Amino acid sequence: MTLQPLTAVNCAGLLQPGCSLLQLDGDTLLFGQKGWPKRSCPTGIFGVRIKENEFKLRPISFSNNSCYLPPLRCPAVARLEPRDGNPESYLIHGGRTPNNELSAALYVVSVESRGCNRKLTLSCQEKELVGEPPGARYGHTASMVHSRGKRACVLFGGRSYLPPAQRTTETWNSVVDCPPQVFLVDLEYGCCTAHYLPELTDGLSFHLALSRGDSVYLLGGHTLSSDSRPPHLFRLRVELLLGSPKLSCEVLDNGLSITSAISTRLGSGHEYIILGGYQADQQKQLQCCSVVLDDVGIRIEPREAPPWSGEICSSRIWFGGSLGKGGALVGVPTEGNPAPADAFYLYQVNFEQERGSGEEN
Amino acid sequence: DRYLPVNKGGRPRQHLLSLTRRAQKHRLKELKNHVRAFADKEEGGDTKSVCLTLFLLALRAGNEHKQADELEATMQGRGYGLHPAVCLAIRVNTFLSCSQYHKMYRTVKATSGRQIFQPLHTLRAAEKELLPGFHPFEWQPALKGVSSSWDLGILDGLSGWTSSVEDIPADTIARRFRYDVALVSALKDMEEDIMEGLKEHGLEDSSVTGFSVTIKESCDGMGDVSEKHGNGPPVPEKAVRFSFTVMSVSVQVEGEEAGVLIFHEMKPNSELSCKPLCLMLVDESDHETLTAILGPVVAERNAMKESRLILSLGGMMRSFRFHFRGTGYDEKMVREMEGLEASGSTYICTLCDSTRSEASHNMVLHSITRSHQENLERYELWRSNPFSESADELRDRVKGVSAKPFMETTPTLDALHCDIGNATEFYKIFQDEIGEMHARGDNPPSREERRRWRATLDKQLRKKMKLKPVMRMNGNYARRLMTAEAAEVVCELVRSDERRQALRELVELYMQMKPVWRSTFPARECPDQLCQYSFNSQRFAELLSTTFKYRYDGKITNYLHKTLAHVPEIVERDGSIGAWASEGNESGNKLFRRFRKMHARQSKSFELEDVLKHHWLYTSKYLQKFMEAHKNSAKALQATINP
Ligand SMILES: [Zn+2]
Repeated sequence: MTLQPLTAVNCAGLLQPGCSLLQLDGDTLLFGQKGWPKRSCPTGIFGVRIKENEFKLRPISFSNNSCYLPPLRCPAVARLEPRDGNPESYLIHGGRTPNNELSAALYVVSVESRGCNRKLTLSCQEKELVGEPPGARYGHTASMVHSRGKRACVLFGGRSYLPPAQRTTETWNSVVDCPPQVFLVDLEYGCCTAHYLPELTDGLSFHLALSRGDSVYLLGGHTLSSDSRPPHLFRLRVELLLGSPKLSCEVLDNGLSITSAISTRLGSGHEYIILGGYQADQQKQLQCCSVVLDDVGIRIEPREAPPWSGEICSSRIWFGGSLGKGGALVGVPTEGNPAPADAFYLYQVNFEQERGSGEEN
Repeated sequence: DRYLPVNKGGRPRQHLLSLTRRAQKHRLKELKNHVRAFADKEEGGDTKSVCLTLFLLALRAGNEHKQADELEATMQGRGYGLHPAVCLAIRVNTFLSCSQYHKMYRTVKATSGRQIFQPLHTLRAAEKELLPGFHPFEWQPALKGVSSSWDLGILDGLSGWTSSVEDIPADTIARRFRYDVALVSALKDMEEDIMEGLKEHGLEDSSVTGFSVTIKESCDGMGDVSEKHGNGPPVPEKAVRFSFTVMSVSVQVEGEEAGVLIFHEMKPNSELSCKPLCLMLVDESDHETLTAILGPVVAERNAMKESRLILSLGGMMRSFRFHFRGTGYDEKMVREMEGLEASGSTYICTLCDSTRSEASHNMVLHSITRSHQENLERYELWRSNPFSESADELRDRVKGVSAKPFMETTPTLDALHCDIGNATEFYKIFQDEIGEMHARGDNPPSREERRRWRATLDKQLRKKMKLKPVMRMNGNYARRLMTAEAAEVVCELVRSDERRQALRELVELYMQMKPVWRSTFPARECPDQLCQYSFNSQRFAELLSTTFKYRYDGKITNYLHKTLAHVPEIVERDGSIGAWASEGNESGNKLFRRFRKMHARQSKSFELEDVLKHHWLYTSKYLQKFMEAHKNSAKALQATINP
C-alpha cells in the first residue's frame, strides 16, 4: 500500500471536486473538468496518464455520431460490461453543469475505436428517457443490476434545487433531498419506472452504491433534511420480470457513516476498497475498509489506511476517484499566501502492489 | 386670554406682533431710544447685541433653549448646521469611515462650540432612505421566481449555497442587492430629475401612461485586490463587480407612438452613475463560482423583462418597463458569458461569424449577426450534433459556440479596450516599419532583430515624447501613442519617404476614426468624422492590405476587425458606442480599493457589505446634488482632517 505525491503537468486547472474518473478499455478517463471545455479538448474528456509521479491529461476525441455533453460535477455514473455486441461503456446521469444548472440527461459513453498509437476515440450518445424519468439532480448513484438474463440501471438519491414554485432568487442555490424514489431505467428503450419502497424513507445523497447480480447495496450517505450521515446499509433487489419489475429492500445493520467516498475495485471479483469521504461535516473519514460482495451478501471490514500526508490530514475537503486495479487518485486543496499556482495537491494511492514496478512499500 | 392694554381712544390695543412694521416702530419708539442710550453708554453702541441678549435671556428664562440655540446660531451668521444629506454626501465623497467622521464631528463641536456637522445617527437615518429596500413597490404581474418582499437590503450573494463538504464549501464571499429593489432605489434617487424632465416637456401627469427605463449593465474582474487585514475564511483575492447605469428614461404619451425622452444620463461613463449591484471575491475566470453568484441576478433580470414595476413617483403611482443592455463587458467576459471560444479563436468576432482569415481579406464589409438567442441555439446544436459531424465541421456550423451561454450581453465594441488593443497593434506596426518588414519577403526576422527594433522604438519615444515603455499597454499610453506627434517621432526612424507617408496617413486616418467610437454623442460631437467613417475605414483597410500586407495577409486582430467592420452599424443602432462602454465600471475599481481601505471592519463579509453600501451611496444623484452645492464645505472639511 502506497501513497505517492503526484505533480500535475499543465493540467491542474482542469481538476475540481466533483469530477469523475472512468475506466474504459484499460484507460482511465477524467470527466467533469473545471469550466467549459476549451478548444484544446472540445469533448471535456481526458485520458489520464501517470508516469514517474507526473500526472498528465490528454484530450480524447469523439466519433462523428457523438453528441457533446457538458462537463458535469457529481453525476451518477455506472459502468456497463460489454454484452450482446454492445461495447464496454459508461452511463452518466445528471450532475451540475459549469453554469450551475442541473442536468436530467442520460449519456452513454463507450469506446468507438483505437487509432494509431492506440489513440482512443469515444462515442457519446444521449439516451432519451420516457415514462417516469428522474428529474435533474446530482450527488446520486447509478448501478447496474442483472436479473433473468436482462439488465437495467438503478438510479437512487441525489439533490436538486427547490421546486420551481418554491425557488426564489434569494434561495436560488439552496438544494434539497430528492424524494427517496428508486428509478429503474431500461437501457434498450430508455423506459423509466419510479418506485417507493417502505424501507427507504429519507432522501439520500453522496452515498456509495455497489452492485452484484440482482442486488444494489446502498452504503452511508447524507440526508439534507436532517443534516445527518446515518450509518445506512440497504440491500436493494430487483427482479426483472416480464411484465413489471419487482423491487424489494432489506435494511442491514452493519453500515457505515460515510459520504463522498471513493471505491476502487481489487482484482476482477467483487472486492472493493472504500477510501476517502467524510464522517461528519468537519471530519474526514481517514479509515479505509474493504467490501466484498458475494452470493450471501456483503462483508465490510476495516483495512489499514495509507500513511496520509500532513496536507491530507489537515485539509477540510478531499476528492478523487478510482484509477482501477486498487488504485485511486486523491486531491486536496492547496493553501497558502500567495495562493500556490496549482489549486490541488494530488496523490496516487495504491492498494494492490504492482508486480515488478520496483517501487518500495 | 391675555390682558390687552386699552388704547387711548378706548379701542382694545392690537397685539404688537400683528402690527405693521411702521406701527411696531411707532409703538416701541420710546423703548428703542432708551436701549440706544444704554448701549451707547455701556456697550459701545452695539444695540443689536443688547436686544438680542435680552431676547435670549427671556427665551432661556422660559426654558426655550432650542429656539435660543437656533437664534444664537443664526445671529452668529452660520445657520443651523449642515443638512444631514450634506453631511452624508461629504462623508461618502471624502471617503471617511464612521469613526473618522465621528472624530471630526466631535472635534468641530468642541473647538467651535457649534454643531455644524450632524451626529452619526442622523446620517444613518438619512442613508437608510437612499439605500435599496426603503421604498415599497410591486410588480405586475408578480416576478417569477422572485419573492414579493420589497424591504430587502444587502443579501448574501451565495443565495443559499450551503457550505457542506459534499457540496464543496464556497471559498468566496459575495454581497448584493436584489436587482429590482436596487432599480427602485435608483429611480427614487433620481425622482427629481424625472419629474423635472416631465415638466420640461410640458407633460401633464394624466397623459403619461408608462415609463420606459434603459439600463446599461457591466461586469468586470477587478484583478488583484488583496489586503493584508481581515479574518474570515481564506478567499481568492480577486474580485468581480456587476453594476448598472440608468441610461435613459422615456415616457409613453397617450396617442403618441414614440416615447418622449425625459431623462438622459449625461455622464454614462462616470463612476458616479455606475451603481454597484453585486460584489464578489472571486476570480473572474472561475466560471462555476461566478455563475453560482450571478445566477440569481440573471433570473431576476429575466423575470423583470416580463413584467411592469408599479412605483409611486412624484406622488402618483406609475408603471415602468425596463430594457437591459449588457454592453459594459470586455471581450474576455463577453466570450465567457456567451459561450464563445477564447479571444485567440479563429472566430475572431463577438458580433459576426467571420473567421480571422475572412476578416483579413474583407476588412470592412461585415454586419452584426450574433445574438444571445442564436448563441443558445448554437450551443444546443453543438451539444446534440444532429448532423453527425466531426468536431471541426460541427465547430464551423456553430461558429465556435461550444459552451452554454450564461448571461445575455449586447454585442458591441468595447470602446476602452478597443483603444488599447489597437494601440498595441500600432506599437507593433511601428516596430515593423523600423525594421523594414515590408522589404524582407520570405526572410523572417530573428528574435534578436525584433528585440532591437523594439528597443529603438522605446528609446525614441522616451527621448522625444517622454513616453516610458510599459509592461502592458494601458489607456494612458494608448492615448499618447495614437497621435500625430508620435507618428512623426516614429517617422524619424523610417528611411523610405514612401513608407513615412503611408505611416502618417494610417495614423491620421485612425485619429479621424477614433472619435466616432469614443465620443458619447458622436452625431453631436463629431458629425463630420461620423459621416466620413466608412470612407476612412475603407481607405485604412486598403492601406493595410496593400502597403502593410506583410502584416495583414490572412491575419488581423480582433479589435482592428471590429474597428473597421462594425463601427457605423453600431452607432446607427445605439446612437453611440462610447456611451455604452465599460469605463464607469472600470473606474469603479479604484473606488473599491479606496472604500476597502476606509473600512477596517474585522471580517471580510462585513467589509464587503460596507463597501457595497458606500459605493451605492457614492452613486446617489441626490447626494451628488448636495455635494455640488457644498463643494466648499467639503474642501474646508478636508482641510480640517488633513491640515
Ligand atoms: Zn465582426
